[in-house]
Amino acid sequence: MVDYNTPEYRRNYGLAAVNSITAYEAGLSGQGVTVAVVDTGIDLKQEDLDANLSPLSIDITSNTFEGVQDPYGHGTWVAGIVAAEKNDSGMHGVAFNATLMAVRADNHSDCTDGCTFADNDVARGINYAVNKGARVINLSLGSDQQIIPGSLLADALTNAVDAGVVVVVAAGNGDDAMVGQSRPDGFARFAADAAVKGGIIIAGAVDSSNTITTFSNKAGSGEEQDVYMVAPGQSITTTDLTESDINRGKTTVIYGTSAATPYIAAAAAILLEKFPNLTGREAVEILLNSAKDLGAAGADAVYGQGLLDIAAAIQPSGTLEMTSAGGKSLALEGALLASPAMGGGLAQTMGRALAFDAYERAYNADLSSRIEEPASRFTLAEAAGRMTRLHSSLDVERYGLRLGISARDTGRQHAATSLERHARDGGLDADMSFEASVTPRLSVSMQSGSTAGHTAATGEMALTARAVDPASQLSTQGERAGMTFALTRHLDVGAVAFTGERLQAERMDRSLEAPRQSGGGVTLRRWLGAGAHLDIEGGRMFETGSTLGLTGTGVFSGIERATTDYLKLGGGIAMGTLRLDGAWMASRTETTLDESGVFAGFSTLKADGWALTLTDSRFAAQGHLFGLHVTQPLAVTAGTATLHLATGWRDDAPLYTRQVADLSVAERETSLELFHRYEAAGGLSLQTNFIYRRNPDNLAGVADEAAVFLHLATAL
Amino acid sequence: MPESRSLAISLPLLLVLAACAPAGDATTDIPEDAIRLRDNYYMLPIGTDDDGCPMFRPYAPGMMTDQAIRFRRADGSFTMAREEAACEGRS
Repeated sequence: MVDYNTPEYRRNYGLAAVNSITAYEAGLSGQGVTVAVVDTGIDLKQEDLDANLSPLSIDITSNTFEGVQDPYGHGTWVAGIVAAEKNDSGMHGVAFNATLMAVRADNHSDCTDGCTFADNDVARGINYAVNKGARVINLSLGSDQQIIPGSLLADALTNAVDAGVVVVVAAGNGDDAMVGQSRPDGFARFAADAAVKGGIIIAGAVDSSNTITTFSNKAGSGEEQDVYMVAPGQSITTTDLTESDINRGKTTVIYGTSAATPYIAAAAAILLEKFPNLTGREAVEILLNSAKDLGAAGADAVYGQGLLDIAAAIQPSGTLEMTSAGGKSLALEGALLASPAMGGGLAQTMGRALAFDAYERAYNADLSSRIEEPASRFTLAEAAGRMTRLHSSLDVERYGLRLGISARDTGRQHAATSLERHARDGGLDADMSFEASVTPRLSVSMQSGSTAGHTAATGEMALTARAVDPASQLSTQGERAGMTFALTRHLDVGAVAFTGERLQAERMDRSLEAPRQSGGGVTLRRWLGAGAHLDIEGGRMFETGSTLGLTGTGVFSGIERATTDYLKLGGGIAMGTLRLDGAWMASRTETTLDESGVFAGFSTLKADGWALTLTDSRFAAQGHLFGLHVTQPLAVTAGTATLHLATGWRDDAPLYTRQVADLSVAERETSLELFHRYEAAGGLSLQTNFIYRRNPDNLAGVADEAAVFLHLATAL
Repeated sequence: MPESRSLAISLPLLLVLAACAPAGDATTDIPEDAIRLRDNYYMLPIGTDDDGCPMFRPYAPGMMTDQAIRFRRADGSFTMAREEAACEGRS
């Protein structure tokens, strides 16, 4: 990164006072914008200005370029503050790459101690600058006399404003010689004329401590206050005439509202460089509205709108907006909660997008920063928190009944939202499970509560269920009910039904209705003898507010619902003391949008997952059971989201394109779990689970996880 | 008819004269403390800076001037350079 805080920068203290370095760091320096300085011309030999000097510079009297040579120095001083080059020599201007159009308009009489300017010559200079493409005009000139509406000068200023040119005029030095009022001088007061108001800025001067100088005309209490702002104007280092008798090399130091005016003119050039589509009046309004308040709160009779603040001027005004896929304005707010099944796919492929402020200025929307990690992430830390709990279970073998209740103190009171309806008033989070054999051939089961909590409740391996079950993967809290009926000795049929919701959706918007899933399926189990079996399950899952877990708010809203069809194949086989169980699941998801956000469409999302479990009971007689579990949880293997985004400009209007983001997972999660259970005499059992997860939740770049869980149980 | 003929002559003459006049409301009232440097060009004292050094601004009735502050040297001439100013003994 370029360091702009150079000796050359520091030599002009006003650059820091107006926060110009923020613009430089954003790559702005007035490049491509022409600032006309209607004044005494410019020193053609000044090496700090020559590279930025426009060949269209002119002497209005002689109508020549050569005649622009500055006879006094004032035009050269002013031009230096606007755009002296950044060349590690002398000082540099506020907009050090702007183009300087020097328009000499003095009356070519004696310029000893200063030149004089006829109104008509200034008017001709303004007209010339407008006709030759200047976007900003600096007038560090003044007069006690008011401009007469209808005069050449009044018409020239009006035409300039109407042409979209930003005009900046000096407020004047010292009170009105005739009237003695502290307000802008007669010439500057024309800025409040109805014909031009809002197109001309009056520049007052402050010192290095941002206090109004003793010489500067103040804003006054009239309408001039609305278009008056201040900039540094005391002891300002700038370029000098190369042959000046007071020249101390390349620079000199000046005082006056003459010096404050070019700060604002140069700021306008920077603003128009970044946002070339702004009108002149818009640029003026932005500069005035973004000024740093000084003196009395709000606009006041001394500082008017306040101190020029370039950093603030280039920032968005009001709320940034985008346009939804349905064509409606959309505030740039909200977040996208990625799905574990999609990992970081969307964040990695999200392209550039623009958002617009109240002036239609384009800013990088940086949508990637609004993508949060999967809301239902099953982190081991969370699982540990949920597992550190008091658990009790009741097994009544005679009736095949098993009842488990697991609870923990969450340590906080929950707000009563739909997201947290499982949280009890006392801050208690409870999970329940129930299994029963109703008849020798019919068994039923039910679970309610957190996914992780059931690991504690059931004492099973922590990851087994999650690997190949879309419902448990997408929800952190829910209910599940199942029924199995032994149709024949070798065939079980069953049904499952489930609902779930994502508690962590509260992270992005507490008012959001929790994305919910529900669904059901049919199961078949074919017993092959000796404990071997083949399983098949098919079902459908319905989501509201999400698609395979992906959900969002604000610009990412609009995911209305999704339907996922899944097929699960599995089986198990016993080989002596070893037992191998496995399952594989594939799914297809169709998404319905309402186009209230930037999502314009989703393709069919294809996903799959698998799990293998190996247990060894060779030491069962001694009370030991060992297990190994490997899984790749559900992950999208193919699918895209289409987003409606502004990516540039064409014909002065935002250019909207359809960007396709790949949702497939680049680096899938692979998890390994080692399991050991020891059952001692007297019903005491100790279970140990060691878990290692690589690319947790299919997120590349997320640190791998490892954890050990202990489970102690005793029979009563 | 002679009246209308003289009107026809005098009206364009008045318009020409009006067009040649300064666009602003030129005043010939020169402040008493103005320092005359040349025809229609003065320096007006506008008080002192924070250190008490007298400041001046150019003043040219009916004309525009630059808006840079001047200071006064010991020999009475004017300068833009604050450090060249002879500030003591002046008010």
